[in-house]
Amino acid sequence: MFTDILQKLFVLAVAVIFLWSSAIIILRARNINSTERKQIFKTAEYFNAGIILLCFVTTMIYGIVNHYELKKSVYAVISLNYSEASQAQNSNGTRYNPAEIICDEVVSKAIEKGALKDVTVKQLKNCLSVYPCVQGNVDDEKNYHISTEFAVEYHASKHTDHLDSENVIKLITTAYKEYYIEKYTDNFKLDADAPDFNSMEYMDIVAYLDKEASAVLNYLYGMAEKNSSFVTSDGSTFNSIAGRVYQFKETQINQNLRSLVLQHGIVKDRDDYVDRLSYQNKNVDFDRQKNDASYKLCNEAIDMYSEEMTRIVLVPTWDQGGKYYMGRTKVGIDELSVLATNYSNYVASNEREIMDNNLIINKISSGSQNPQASQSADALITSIYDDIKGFEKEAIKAGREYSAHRMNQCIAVSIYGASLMDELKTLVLFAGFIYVALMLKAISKKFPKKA
Amino acid sequence: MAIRKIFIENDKYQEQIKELFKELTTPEVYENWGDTFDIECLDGKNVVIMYHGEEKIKKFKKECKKTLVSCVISVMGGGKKVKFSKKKGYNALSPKTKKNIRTVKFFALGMIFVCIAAAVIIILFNYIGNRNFRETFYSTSSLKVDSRIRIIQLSDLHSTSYGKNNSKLLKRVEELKPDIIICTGDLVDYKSGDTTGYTSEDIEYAVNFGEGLAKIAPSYYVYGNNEVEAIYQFPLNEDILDSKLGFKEGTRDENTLREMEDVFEDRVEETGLKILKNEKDTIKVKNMTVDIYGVLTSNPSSFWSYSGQSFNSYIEENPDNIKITAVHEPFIFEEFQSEFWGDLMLCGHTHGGVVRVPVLGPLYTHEGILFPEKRGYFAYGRHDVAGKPLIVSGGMENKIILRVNNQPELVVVDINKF
Repeated sequence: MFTDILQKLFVLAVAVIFLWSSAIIILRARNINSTERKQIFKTAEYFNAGIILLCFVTTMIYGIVNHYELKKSVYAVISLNYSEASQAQNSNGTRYNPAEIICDEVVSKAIEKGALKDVTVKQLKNCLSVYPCVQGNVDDEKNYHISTEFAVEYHASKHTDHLDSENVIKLITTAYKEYYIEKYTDNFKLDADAPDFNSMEYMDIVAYLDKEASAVLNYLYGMAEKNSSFVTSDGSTFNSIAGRVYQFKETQINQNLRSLVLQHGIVKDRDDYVDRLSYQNKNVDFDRQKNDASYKLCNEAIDMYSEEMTRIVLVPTWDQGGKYYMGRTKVGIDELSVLATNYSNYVASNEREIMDNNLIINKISSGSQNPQASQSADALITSIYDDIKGFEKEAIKAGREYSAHRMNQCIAVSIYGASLMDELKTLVLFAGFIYVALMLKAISKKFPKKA
Repeated sequence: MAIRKIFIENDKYQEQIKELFKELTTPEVYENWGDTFDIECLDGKNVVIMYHGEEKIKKFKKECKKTLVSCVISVMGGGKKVKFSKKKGYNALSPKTKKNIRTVKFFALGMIFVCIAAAVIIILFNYIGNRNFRETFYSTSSLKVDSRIRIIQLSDLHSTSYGKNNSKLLKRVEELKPDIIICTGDLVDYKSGDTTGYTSEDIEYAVNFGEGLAKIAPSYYVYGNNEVEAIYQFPLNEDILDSKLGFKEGTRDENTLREMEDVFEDRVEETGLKILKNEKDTIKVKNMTVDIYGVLTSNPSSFWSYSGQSFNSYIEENPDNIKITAVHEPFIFEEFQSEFWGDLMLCGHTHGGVVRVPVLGPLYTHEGILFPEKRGYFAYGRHDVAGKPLIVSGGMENKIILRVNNQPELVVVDINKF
């Protein structure tokens, strides 16, 4: 605060000297003719050691004051380096809001991170401002611009004068980066608590493991869709890991474990499980009947369609390039055909499920309880579960690496304070200004008061 | 008294002669030559006209001799022998030049005064500023981290105290809520003595400080060159270590140096401040495992031979652990290329280059290197070593030498997930 006042006083004092001397010269210039005026300016002692020294001393003091004043102001540029930024979106596709850079949550996080004392969120927030580095014009198509770079400026106030400006802006930007990543970036939590396999039927375990492996696969396919060419530190890609998981799922779960359970009819509670499957079959059969009825209804409707109405209707239209073409429109019979095909597929799927369940029921009913087979199945389940967890870990690691790779580049922060060149420029300007003011004051004395 | 009288008379004669000369000669001649001579008459018989004009004396004589001689006789009386002489070292200067010289002298003296004043102001400002410390925040990321780990680095205190028993410093460290505290050497100063290079005050200082730190978070301490000299009384380079410990190539045992008697270590470790001498310690921080390795033999000549084995096992074992390498001097990072030094490296020793020149950076290091950063040495701040951050602390001492534009600093490093 003190330096701020001192800096303004310096400039004010020089301005007063300048204006006062100029006024005297203008007023007294009337008392002499133009030749004399020229003579005064010509013979003025421009290399006056006293004036130069005074200039130097004043500039030096001003330089120190200015230096401390400039240290109070600092700004950082936050660059959004992901593709969605150019559409003013966050990396997850939601609307980007630059005001979040200095929102209460970020500022409070920064205060907490830096253990900043004697300052409230409101006081610190008042010292911060955000603006786009390149401001476009929404009313003008040519100058329409969506900024992907935002400057955060900090200027200390009397409440925050005791804080280090550079630290404050560093803390704000780091807090924002954390806030952004937490809120808008990938969530790759796959870990779940291990289920109690002892209380589950073997076929349920097979289904559970299959679901777990599919979850890993889906996660990997999703990541591969984002960036199929990303290579992890150990040389894998999302697709290559997914390939291994798929292979494992098919061989270990669907072939080895499933076959082992079915072949030996391994079950923990035969009657209970058979009852459950029979009840399931009844439900599926009910669905099958409904789907079959719908399928037949669609076919009847198709038969009822008159031939004239089944003809293709062509409508003239044009493409994006402005070229005309004849477009084929869908008619009611097309819709009915699609529905009939779908219902037919549902029926087939229901029948297959019933067949599978019947197969399991038969195998279990005819199978003898073989403790050795149960032990083998238990061992295989443990091994498969561990392998799936291994794949999960690998997938998470790859996802994290990708996120780190993407997120670390997603927001880049550069911090700028006043440069030495800026300070020198200000000093040179001030020195020139004060020299002119003092010279004018010296020259003004040479002008006579009276004609 | 007589001489003073002569001077007064000379001045009087000179005035009269010059007035007469003005009357007798043309205005043009007077304007050209009137200010270019002085009259000197020391013995009453000889009168010397000392010419100090820019033109040649011959020309002066040609135009003014007759008139001047008659002026001298008229004013001083007859029987005087008039001589013309050119004043040495003065003759080439016109009154305007003389005035300029005076101005330049005044300006130069003024500038000297201003420079001295500026130096005094700079010293004063820095002296006052250095009585307190500032905080420097660094942020880095590691895939091994699940949630933020905060490390506070304290370096090169050289027995400096911020508040009584460092209360001010300890309070601030506590406020910053670190997970790990690491002192990267030169906590105390080496003092030449017969048996030990440290005093009881040094031990008391380290013990008090260690107690304070250990209460806040798990704290570690790596010896700097001052402690090494104070405790071992010899520098830890390979040749000296070999001769002192009786080793040669192939027979070296890293444990020998670690197990040497060290009263300072015993006293300090009682406080809970763990001293790492070419060894690692593993701790759990927020469910993450962190390995901290402290280098004792930071001299490049002895680093691999006396700490290579332990360092390699620290690097190779448990690669999923977060690894922090602490060393006093940054020499090993400058000297050797390695694929992996750790997830974070911390060091000090350089005092931030003591003076930090705008644009050019740190001015010098103890090793006598001018502008070390410009020459590729690590003198201050964050550097990249094998893709991982190396933080060189500017240190916290404020009494050995005046630090300019280089306030003592407390380093805060956050290791984040991203």
